[in-house]
Amino acid sequence: MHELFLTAHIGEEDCPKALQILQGYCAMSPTSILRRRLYWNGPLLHNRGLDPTFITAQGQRARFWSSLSEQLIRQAYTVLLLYDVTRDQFPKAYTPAEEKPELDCDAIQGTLLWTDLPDPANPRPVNSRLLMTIEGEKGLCNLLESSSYKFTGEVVEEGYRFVHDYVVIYLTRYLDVPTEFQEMEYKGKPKVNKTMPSFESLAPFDSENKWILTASLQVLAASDLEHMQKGTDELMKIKADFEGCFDFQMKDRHIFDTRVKQ
Amino acid sequence: MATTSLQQDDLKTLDQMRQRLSQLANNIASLKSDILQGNPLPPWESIQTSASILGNNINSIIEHLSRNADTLNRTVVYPSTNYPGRTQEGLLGQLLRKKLEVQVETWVEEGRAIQESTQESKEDVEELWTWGKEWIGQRVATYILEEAGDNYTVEEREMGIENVNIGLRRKFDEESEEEDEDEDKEMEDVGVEVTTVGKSMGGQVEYGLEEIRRSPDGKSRGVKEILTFATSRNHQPRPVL
Repeated sequence: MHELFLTAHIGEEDCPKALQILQGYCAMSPTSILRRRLYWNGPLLHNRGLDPTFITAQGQRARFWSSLSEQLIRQAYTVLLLYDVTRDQFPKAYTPAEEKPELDCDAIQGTLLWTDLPDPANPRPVNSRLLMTIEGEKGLCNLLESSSYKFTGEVVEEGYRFVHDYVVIYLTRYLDVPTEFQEMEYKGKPKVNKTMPSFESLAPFDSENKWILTASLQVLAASDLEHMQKGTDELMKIKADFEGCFDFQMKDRHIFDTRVKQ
Repeated sequence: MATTSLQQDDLKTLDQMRQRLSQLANNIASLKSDILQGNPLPPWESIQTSASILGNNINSIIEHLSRNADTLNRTVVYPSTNYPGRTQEGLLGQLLRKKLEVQVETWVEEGRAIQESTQESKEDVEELWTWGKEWIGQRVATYILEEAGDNYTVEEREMGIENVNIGLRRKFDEESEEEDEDEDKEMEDVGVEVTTVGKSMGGQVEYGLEEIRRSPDGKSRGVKEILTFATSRNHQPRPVL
């Protein structure tokens, strides 16, 4: 899949208004999204992509996995595992450790998300990048570990998703899990938390609590120029519609760099 | 003494009249035959076109009649002395007849009646509009002065306001003015005031967004930084090699 997208941001105080405007524009109530984003870095040395024994065991879906693995072999990338959570899976503050709801990521279905560094300057006025997701899989943490990926940390993403024609408009903010709640295998090596900290203890990554607004759509292949153009036009229409309200922009592609650096 | 014979202009007027009448007669005849003989009936567009042509023809005849009313009023038909009065009496009678035929007279009467009734109905409509204008002015004034602040319609009040589906989860306080003030105060205190709106909007919005506040000791980040963080969770400066 190729993703075309534009990005805007809004201040904390404008969030309710933005939700109302988007609800009106898209003629729908937003879908609320709350999910854990687990970040995994690919190995800089001896990068062999994804564990081949896992891929061959995937049967019909093996071709998705091997095409993803082909991409990951090119370069060490940061990949993301996404797990939907509900509000009640966050324990109340001061809940004793043994009463906290346990979340075993390998036992529940998650989504693996990989995005490439966005395409270099092109005639299109939108960001575009290669994107691959594999959804509804269990045991993803295990897979990444056995593929020599290193877990680097977790962010909770909270957002509202709207759909307008082909365009997904997503208003989101990122909540950081405080360091003291991050479980560690040993110092300097975090491991995936088995329980979540209380919701109240999460801190917006940006202390001003800005929200990020993304308008995106997906095109099957970048080689399909007609669809790429159509997608671009759709996004430009959204940009024009919100002129003076939200400032959708094409950003510097290096902001979205997923390559692991030394 | 005025000449009794027709002038060139008069002849022209009469001839134009004749042409127009014959055109109208032809049009009527062709529409009639289309409708009587056409199977299936001609499409409605074509009937409509024919009707508008007829209308135009009639208009042009009326215009012509009124423009030349003077000449035509003074023009009379009379037989020459050598007219074969005995053999062609029927035609003579038709040409000289001034009184309208009975059927035509009925049509003329019908036409006059229609004219009168449309004039009357026009007056009725005007009266209604004038009345409506006055009434709505007063009603709007009453609404603005007395009713605009009311959150419920009369119908909803009769039904009982507790049965009204207002689509809000929070309690919808009747004393709206006080509520507004309270809300303003609340909003000043709360770090993120999405909760109320968020919940009332979707119905499915479940998270209490108010629980997460700005962290006073947190760092303010630029959009670029936020996006980089979301992409790779890198927010510490990379070591320079």
